[in-house]
Amino acid sequence: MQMKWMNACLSLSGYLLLAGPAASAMVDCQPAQGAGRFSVFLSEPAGAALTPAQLKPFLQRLQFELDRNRDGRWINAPSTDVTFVACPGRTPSLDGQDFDETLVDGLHTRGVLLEVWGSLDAEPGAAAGAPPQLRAQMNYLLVPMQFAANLREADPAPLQRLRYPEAGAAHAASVQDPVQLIARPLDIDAFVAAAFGYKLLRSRSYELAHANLCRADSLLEAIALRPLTGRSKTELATLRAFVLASAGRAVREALADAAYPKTGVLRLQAGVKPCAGED
Amino acid sequence: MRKNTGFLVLIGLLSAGAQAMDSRPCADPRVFPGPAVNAIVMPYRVDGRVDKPPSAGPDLRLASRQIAALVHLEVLTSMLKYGAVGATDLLAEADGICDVDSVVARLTQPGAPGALRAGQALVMVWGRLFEQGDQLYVQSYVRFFRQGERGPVPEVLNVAAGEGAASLKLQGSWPTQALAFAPRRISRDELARVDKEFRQAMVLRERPAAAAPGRMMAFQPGRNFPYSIKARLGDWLELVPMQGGQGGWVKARTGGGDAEAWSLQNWLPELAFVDAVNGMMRLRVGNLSEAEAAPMRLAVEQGLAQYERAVPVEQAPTAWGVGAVMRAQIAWTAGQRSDAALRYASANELLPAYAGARNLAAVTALAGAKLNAASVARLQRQLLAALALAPTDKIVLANLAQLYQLYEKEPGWSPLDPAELREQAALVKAAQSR
Repeated sequence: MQMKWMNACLSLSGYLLLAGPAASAMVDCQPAQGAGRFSVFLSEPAGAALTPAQLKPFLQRLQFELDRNRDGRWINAPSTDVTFVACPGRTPSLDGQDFDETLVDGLHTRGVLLEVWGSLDAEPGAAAGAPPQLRAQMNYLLVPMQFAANLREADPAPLQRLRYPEAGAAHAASVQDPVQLIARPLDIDAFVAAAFGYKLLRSRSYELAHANLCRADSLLEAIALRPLTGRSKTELATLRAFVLASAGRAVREALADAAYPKTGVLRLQAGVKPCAGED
Repeated sequence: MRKNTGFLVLIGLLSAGAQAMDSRPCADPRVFPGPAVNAIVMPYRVDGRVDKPPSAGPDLRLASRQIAALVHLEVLTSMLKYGAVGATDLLAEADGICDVDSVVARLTQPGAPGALRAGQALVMVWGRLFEQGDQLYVQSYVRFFRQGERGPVPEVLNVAAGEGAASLKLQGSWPTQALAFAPRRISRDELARVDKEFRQAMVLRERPAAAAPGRMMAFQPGRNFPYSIKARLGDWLELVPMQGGQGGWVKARTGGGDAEAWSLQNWLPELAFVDAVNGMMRLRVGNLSEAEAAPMRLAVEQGLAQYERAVPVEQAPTAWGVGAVMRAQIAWTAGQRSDAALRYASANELLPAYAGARNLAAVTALAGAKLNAASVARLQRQLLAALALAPTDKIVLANLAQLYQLYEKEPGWSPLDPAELREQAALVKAAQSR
């Protein structure tokens, strides 16, 4: 474990040294400390919408915006308890090529479930005098899924890409605040639940894994109803299929595990679709 | 250790019930015994700032206190239209945590001093604050429930489906009775202006008329300032200081879908949502004539609509979902079962991760319907889907237990063979007992 972490550090140093003008800079970021704590990294977006001086305040605000369930224990929110971590200076490339096996291994080991980054641009307004329209492509790397892909265990589409605003979205033209444009609680909840559920499955916490994966399935289904196109649509469909298959795997492995209780609630789900519901 | 700050009390007894206002230390929360609905505003916690160390300076602590105090006044003046209401502002020591669970535990302990009485409702509001430049980012939370004989009780719906032996007595509960609102921005200057204009609007006048001479009420966070309400004339309330001095008439907020220019709701539209929650809980407490209930239903709708105009669904799916549930509840109570079922289905779409939303949509779709193999099969799939989201949900498990009992009576409808059915029923029973 220590050797892997050293490798990750060396790898990060290498990225810093090799970073070019339009290249990435994978400075390290400190996840939440403590056993059983999970983090979401918020890295700097590329693009022309923000000046370098605006990036750090942008990330801090994004962190505050997304962390709205910080007091989740007081509101009994079903969302996973994660800590959002702003990572100023960390700028992964848009295609996600920075996330090699060593880096992903380090993130996975340190309880990072998701890394979010992307690009933010401002296009001229449709009419003369109209304010510029913000456009974003946000990338979401589901770390446990990428970890599994690196081990050739699965092909779960660990890198999800969504564009904001979506075609025909209400308020699309009026969103002038980049944080409000990209801070989508439902999207984040979906990817966090998927990543957390899969991580739990790998650690054989079958019931928690199943509940999180089914929650992710419901949320991904809601995202899929939006007017997604092209790569975003196919990648999301691939992820959802993987999430459903993983939920089914949680049931199967629980039933096959001699240590799983005879009255375990997953036995109710045997023989039905992994997350039940309509066809 | 918490600072035991002073009290600000506004108590009154009207024919419609009691109206009261108080400010208390967080360590000693109390509600008023008379009102149907008590609202408690707890501290807005400082979350630090970008360009300064995480510990909040006195200016930020003051802003935090100012927001909580203004939210308190806003909540009280908005909810006066609901009649029997009370509002308490809980104060914590600077940088101290006012633990919501501790406050709930104290206030729901049956028979404890200052605790809720059975049938009373409680609405709790609190939040956190973040500063960047001269902008304050404010995020609010709300939690609400009614008190039962032994503690808080969930809002539950009873749904009868089928007839004779082939019938089900199902239940649904609201998917959530607490939520986190989307953060909102307000500048320090705007906050100061709201504070000033609020005070100017809250003028004690000699007569119940806007043109009558008056003087500003001396609101100060944490300062003893007791008032009682002596009389009511239309939207006007006559206040009398409890510690002596001259009283006067003040105009209560009546709603109408748009906040007054000075209202904090313009910056924090979630306060319009909270007002809708207050109205909804007042309706749930009941004992209202139709003449009293009708304007409350309208106020609930106006509060929700005002929030939804200000905050798009993609930024606040949970709030929109809870709003859909409240509208559905109103339709359900009015006997508009089909409309209610559609609204519960809509809430389920907005709250895809909530087992309660899926359960409500499933059971209300069957309300009053004659059952058959297809409809109960669909119910089973939906209940199992809800259980997949929340494996320990007692209401979903109870519905599933009912369904399996129905399968025993109508084996032709069951997709399970007798042995499987017995096994599944036993599993449900075991889950219920956990």
